[in-house]
Amino acid sequence: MSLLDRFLKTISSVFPSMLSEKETTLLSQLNPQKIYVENVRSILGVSHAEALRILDTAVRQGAFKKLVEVRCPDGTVAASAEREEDLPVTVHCWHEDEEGHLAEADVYSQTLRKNTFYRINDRSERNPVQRTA
Amino acid sequence: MMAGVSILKKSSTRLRQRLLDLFPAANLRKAFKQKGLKEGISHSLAASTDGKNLDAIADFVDQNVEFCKQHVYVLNHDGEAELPESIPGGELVKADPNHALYFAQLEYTIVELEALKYSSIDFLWPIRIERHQNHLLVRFVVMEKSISSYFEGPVVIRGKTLSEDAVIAKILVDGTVSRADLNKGFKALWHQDKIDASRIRYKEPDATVTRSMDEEKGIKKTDPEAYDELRRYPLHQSVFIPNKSFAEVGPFTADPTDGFIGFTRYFKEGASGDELIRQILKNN
Repeated sequence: MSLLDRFLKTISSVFPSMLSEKETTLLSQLNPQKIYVENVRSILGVSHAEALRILDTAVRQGAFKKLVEVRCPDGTVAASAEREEDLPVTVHCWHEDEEGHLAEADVYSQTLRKNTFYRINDRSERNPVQRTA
Repeated sequence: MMAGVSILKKSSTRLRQRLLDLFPAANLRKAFKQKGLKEGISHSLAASTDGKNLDAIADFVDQNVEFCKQHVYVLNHDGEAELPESIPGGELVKADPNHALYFAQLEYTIVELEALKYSSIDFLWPIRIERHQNHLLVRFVVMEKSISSYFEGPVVIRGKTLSEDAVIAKILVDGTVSRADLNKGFKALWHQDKIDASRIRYKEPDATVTRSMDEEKGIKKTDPEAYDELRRYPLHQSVFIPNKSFAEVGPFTADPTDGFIGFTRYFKEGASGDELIRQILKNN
């Protein structure tokens, strides 16, 4: 089973109704390396909590991995890791100075906002041993 | 043109030391054949007002501006432009027919956040103008990052007595010089894969769009379709990543439409962004 099929099958299994052709097409167009809750929520037309439940179920089933990314003050993603404690201590951020020029600075990751995102767990294809809930 | 080091002579030891502290330690050690910490070298050099020493400091600054963190403005001229005798708040220190070095007096007003009080700190700001056949390159040493190192706690800059825009405006005032549009040169190097961009701002007809790549990935490498789309538009404040041809430059900023290039890191000894600038101009 391809990663894409696995991705769709996982979502189908936890989504209460049948996926439409349009929903299937849109889901298949997502970047499997980086899927945000809002991507899935907007395609399926469900609440944020419901989309989160679907994705977390997929993680428990071993189909997805849950990762965290750290964002610079301007919103740019500076780094990502599987666990927050694995993020670099400092990250490189750009900001505009008072004359409008871009300047760079090293900023402590712990002071910055984090986002959660999901990624297809390609290891689950090669290794049938999966994590359980 | 009358050039001289009188501004250095009139300045305090502390001001001269702050001037030298803008430069990489390795360049100071090499130029003045000294060993030890940068602060010690710059203090000993700054302490003497002997004419030969002041000339040596001016020569050092003149020959090492390109190794500093710097902002470079590229201006067009008709081949007849003359280098200015002075700049706002500054004096001409070194000059020959094709380049001039100025030191401007620059004072920052800052707020010391822990003490909650206003303070000020002054610098001699090195500005170098180089005349090429059809371009003037105006180089400003970047000062801001140095300022917090002169205070115990965190500070916020509230104002300064001179800006790069004010100096550029004075140079542009006679109407024979204009800002260069470097879009063609940047896009040529980008097309040749000599550079990519991790953050790009471009102007669409009805919007200004900023695209910042995650984890400093290159736009062209990561998303060639987006690259194909955006390269039709004028580029503004962006961050470019040189490939291995210009690896010594590191990520740099530019506003191609306004003829601006910013090198935000010190260069290692012997390296500079000058070849990159030459390539941009050659392809422009």
